[in-house]
Amino acid sequence: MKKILIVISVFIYVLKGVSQEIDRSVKYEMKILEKLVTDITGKRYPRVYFDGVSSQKVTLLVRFTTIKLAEDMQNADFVFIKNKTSKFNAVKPTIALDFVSVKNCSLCIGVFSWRNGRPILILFRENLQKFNIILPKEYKYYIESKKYIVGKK
Amino acid sequence: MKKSIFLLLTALAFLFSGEVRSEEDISVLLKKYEEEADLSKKTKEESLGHVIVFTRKDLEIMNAHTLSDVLRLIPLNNLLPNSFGVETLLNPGRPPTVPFVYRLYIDDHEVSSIHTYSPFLIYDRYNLDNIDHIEIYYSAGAISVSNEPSQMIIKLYTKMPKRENASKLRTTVGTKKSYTLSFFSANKINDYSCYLITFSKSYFTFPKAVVSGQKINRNQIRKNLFLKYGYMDTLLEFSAQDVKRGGFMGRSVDYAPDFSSTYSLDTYIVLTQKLPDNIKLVASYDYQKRKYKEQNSKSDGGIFIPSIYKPSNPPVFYYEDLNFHKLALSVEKKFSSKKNNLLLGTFLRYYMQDVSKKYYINETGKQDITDTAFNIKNFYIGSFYAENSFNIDEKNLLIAGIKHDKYKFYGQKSKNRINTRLGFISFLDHKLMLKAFLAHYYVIPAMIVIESSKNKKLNPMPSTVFTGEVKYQIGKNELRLFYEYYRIRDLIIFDRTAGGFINSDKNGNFHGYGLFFKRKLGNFTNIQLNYWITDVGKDKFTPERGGYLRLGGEFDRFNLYSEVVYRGSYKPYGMKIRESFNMKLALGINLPSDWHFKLIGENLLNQSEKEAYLNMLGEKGAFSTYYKRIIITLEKVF
Repeated sequence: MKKILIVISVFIYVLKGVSQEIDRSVKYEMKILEKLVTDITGKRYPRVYFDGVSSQKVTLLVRFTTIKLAEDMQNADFVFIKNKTSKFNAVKPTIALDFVSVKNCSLCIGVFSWRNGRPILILFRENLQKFNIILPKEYKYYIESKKYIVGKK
Repeated sequence: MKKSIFLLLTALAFLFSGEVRSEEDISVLLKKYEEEADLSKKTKEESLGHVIVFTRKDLEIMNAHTLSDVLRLIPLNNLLPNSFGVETLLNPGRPPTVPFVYRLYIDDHEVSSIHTYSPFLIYDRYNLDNIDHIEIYYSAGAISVSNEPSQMIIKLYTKMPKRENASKLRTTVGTKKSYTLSFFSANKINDYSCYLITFSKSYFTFPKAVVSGQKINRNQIRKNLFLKYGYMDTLLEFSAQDVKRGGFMGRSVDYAPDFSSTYSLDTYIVLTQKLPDNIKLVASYDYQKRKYKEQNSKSDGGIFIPSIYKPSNPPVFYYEDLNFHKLALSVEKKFSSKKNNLLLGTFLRYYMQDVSKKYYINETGKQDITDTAFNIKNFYIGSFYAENSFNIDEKNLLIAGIKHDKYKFYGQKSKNRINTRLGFISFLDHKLMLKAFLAHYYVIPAMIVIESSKNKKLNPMPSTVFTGEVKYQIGKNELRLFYEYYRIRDLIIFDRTAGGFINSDKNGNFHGYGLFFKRKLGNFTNIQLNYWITDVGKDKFTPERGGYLRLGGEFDRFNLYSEVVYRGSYKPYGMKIRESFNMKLALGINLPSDWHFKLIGENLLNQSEKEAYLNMLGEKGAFSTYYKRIIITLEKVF
C-alpha cells in the first residue's frame, strides 16, 4: 500500500511539473479543441485524425486531453486539418485550423484560427446539417452560413 | 431623483457584471484563451524595470488610435506641447522643452531622434494601427538595452501577422477638421513567412494659443508607412514617417513667430536575426531629416539663436535643412541555467550629421552659415553590458548589471563611463510582490544640446536613482504602491548670460510617489485609479501631481470606455493655473459583416491641461492644449 502511494505521489508530482511547463494559453487552446470534438461527436474519448497539424500540438492534445489519435481518416470520429493548399475531401466532420485550409475544404464544418488579433470560431450551418450535427445552445453565436467565410480569406 | 439614480446604478451594475456562464462554456474558454495568449505576456521583461502594459484589448477598448492617447496616461509624467508644438513627455516641474531621457522602441528598433534623443518630434501622434501592445518601463539606468542611458523606455510591439489574417480600412473624422485615412494588412503566407503593411495619412488640429496678441499654431499633417516581413527567425522591417507641423512658439523672442514650420522625416530599415544558442542580432540604418523655417519681425524681438543673436540686429528669418544618419549593430546572448540567467551584449552606434542649408536674414542681409555654424558632424557610442539574474530561491530574484559605455563627439576626446544597476524582485507569497532597483548611470547630452552649449562641449550628468514597488493582489483587486528618488548631479542648464547650455554645479533631487488600484470586473472589463505626487513644488513650470480614473470593458458587440486624466494646479511664473480634468468617452460597436463604428468624445469637460509661458520680453500667460472634440471612426475588416 505504501509503495502504491509513493508511486501515485511521484506520478502526480511529475504530471504537475510537466503541466506547469505548458503555457496557459496552450492549455486553453487544447481545452477548446477538446470541447469542440467531444461536443460534436458526443463521445467522451473520440478518435481524431490530424492532417497537416504540427506533431507538437498533436502530442500535447493526445497527452493532456481525452482525445485519442486515429491512424487514418476512415477510423476517425473527427478530423483537424491545417496548411491544406490543395482540395481536401472531408468524409468525416472536419474543422480547419487556418483560413487557407478552409478555402480548400468545401465540406469542413468550421474553422478555428486567429483573425484580426483574436481567436475566431465559425461553424458552418450548411455543413453541420450535412453531417447531422446538433450542437448545444452555447454554440449559437458561432454558427454562421458558409457564405460568411467564402470570399473573405 | 432617487429612483433615477437607482435605475442608473442598476443599469451600470448589470452592464459591468457580465453574464454568468459556466467555466467550460465555449465563450468563456475563447475569452480566457484570448486573454492568456496576449502577446504582452511573452514580451514583458520584469527585470527591465517597473512596467505598465497597455494590451491590445486595452488599446481597442480605449479606442486609442495614436501614441499620445496612451502617453497622456503615463503616471509621474506630464504630456504637454513644447515650444516647437511637439506633444512631449516631461518630468513633473520641468519646463516644456525637448527632453533627452525618453527612448521609444518599435519592436527591437529604437526610433528616438538622432539630433535631440527625443522620439516625440516624429512619434507623438504615431498611428497605432500596426501596434499590438505597448509596454512602458520606468527603467532608469537599465542595462539590458541597446541604447544610451535613459529614464524611461516605451516599447511598441507590432502585430503578429499569423494572428491577423486580415486587412483593415479605417476612416476617422473629427470636429475641428481632423482626419485619418489608414490601411492595414497582415497575413501568414505559409508556416515560415508572413508580412505586415500599413500606411496612413492624418491631419490633427489643436487650439491656436494667443501669445503676444498673435495666434500660434501646431497643427500637423503626417504620413506613415510601415512594412514587416518575417521568414523563420529573420525579421525585416522598413518604416517611413513624415510630419509637417506648425512651429508654434519656435525660437522667437516674443514666443509668437509671424510664421514657423517644421518638416521632419524618419526612415529606417532594421534586420533582426535570432540565431541558435539564444543569440540575437539587430542591425539597422536610419535616415532622418529636419527642415525648419521661422520668421519674426525685429519689432517683436526677432529670433533667438544663441550663437548669432544680437538685440540690435536680430535674425528675422531663420532656415535650416539638416540630415542625420545612424548605423547601429547589437548582439546579445543569453546563458540560462536553472538558477541563473546571464545576458551578455554589445552595441555600436555611429551617428552622422550633414547640413544641407542653414542661413538667417537680419537687417544686414542674408547670412549663409551652412559651413560656419558649429554642428556635431559625427558621434559614436560603443557599449558592453552584462546582466545577471540569480534566483536566490523560488521566490526571490537578484539582478545585477554593469555597462561600459565609450563615446566620442566630433571635436572632443573619447570618454568612458561605467553604469551599474542592482535589482531585487521578491514574491513573498502569491498575493504580494516587491520590486526595487538602484541604478547609477550617466545621462549623455544630445547633439543639439552640445551645439547650443557655451563651450561646444558638455559632460554627462551623473544620476543615481532608486525605485521601489509593492504589488498586492487579492481576488480581483490589485494595489500597487510606487516610489522613486532621483539625484542628478552637474545639471545641464541654459544660462542666458552665457548664451548657451552649461554644466552647472547644481544638483537635482526629486521624489515621486504613485498609487495604482485596479479591479477586474469581468473578462477585459476593469476599473483603474491612479494618483501620483512629487515634491518638486507648485511653483515650477509643469504640474507636480496628477492621476486618472479609467473604466472600460467589452460587452458582446459593444466597447465602452471612460477616462478622466487629472493634473494638479500649479503656479508657474507667479500665475495660478487651475487643476485640469481631461475627460474622454468612447463607444465602439461591432456591426455585421466586420464593420466597426466608434464614437469618441475628447476633452468633454473642456478642462484640458493648461500650459504657461513667459517670453523673453517678460510677457506671460497660459493657454489650453486640447479642443473639446467629437471623433467618428468607421472600420471595415476584410
